[in-house]
Amino acid sequence: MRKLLFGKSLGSVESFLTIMPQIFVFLIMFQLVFMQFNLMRDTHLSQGELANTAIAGGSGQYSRYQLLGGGSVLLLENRKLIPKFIDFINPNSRRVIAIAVDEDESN
Amino acid sequence: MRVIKYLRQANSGSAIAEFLIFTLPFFTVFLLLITTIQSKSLAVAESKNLARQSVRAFVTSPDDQLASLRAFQVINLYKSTLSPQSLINRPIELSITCLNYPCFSRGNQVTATIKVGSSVMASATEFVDLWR
Repeated sequence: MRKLLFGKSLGSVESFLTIMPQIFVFLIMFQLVFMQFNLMRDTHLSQGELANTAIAGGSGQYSRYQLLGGGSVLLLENRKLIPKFIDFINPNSRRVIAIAVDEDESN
Repeated sequence: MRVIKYLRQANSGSAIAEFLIFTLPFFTVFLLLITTIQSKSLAVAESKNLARQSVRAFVTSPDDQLASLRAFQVINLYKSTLSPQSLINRPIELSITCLNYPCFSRGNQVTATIKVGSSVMASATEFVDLWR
């Protein structure tokens, strides 16, 4: 094993030039999967929290709109920063929207 | 026979070229797949939730006249948060169907169906209160 690790092997500039863009494309793909997972997680968690607020009451960053005939609609519009693997300096921001009907306005 | 002979011939090839030929189409297709799955899964989650909330607004209405208006009010409020481009690309349509008519009668089964874009569809069913 040691022999293999310390053994000298020849490489070529062509293979390096081919593999580098491939790795870059692969990292972009991996980043997309990661961002997608984060967005879906945030969407579901925000929706769950808002639905819980509509049932049990509570406070949050949501807006409350009156429904015709009573009750209200809770609307949460949250802009979140999503971390990235490439270009760490400028995090990407995505908007998460959640909506829930609150039948009891006294909550 | 000629074809078989041609295929069985040994050729010297380049590993780099073969690697490139395999990975480039694979990565391109995979990228497209990821973006498609993301937009689909978001549309599915969105439509399921909107269907649930709109049917809830419908069945909790105090009277018959306001029931549909309440359901559409929920959808319009949600639409107001979306960008014009998003509304054009993924139009949201609501339709309400009932087991019996008039729709807003005691114990009646009401189904709200939400269509997001051209392919994503979700529905939610609830019953009008028996003691209304």
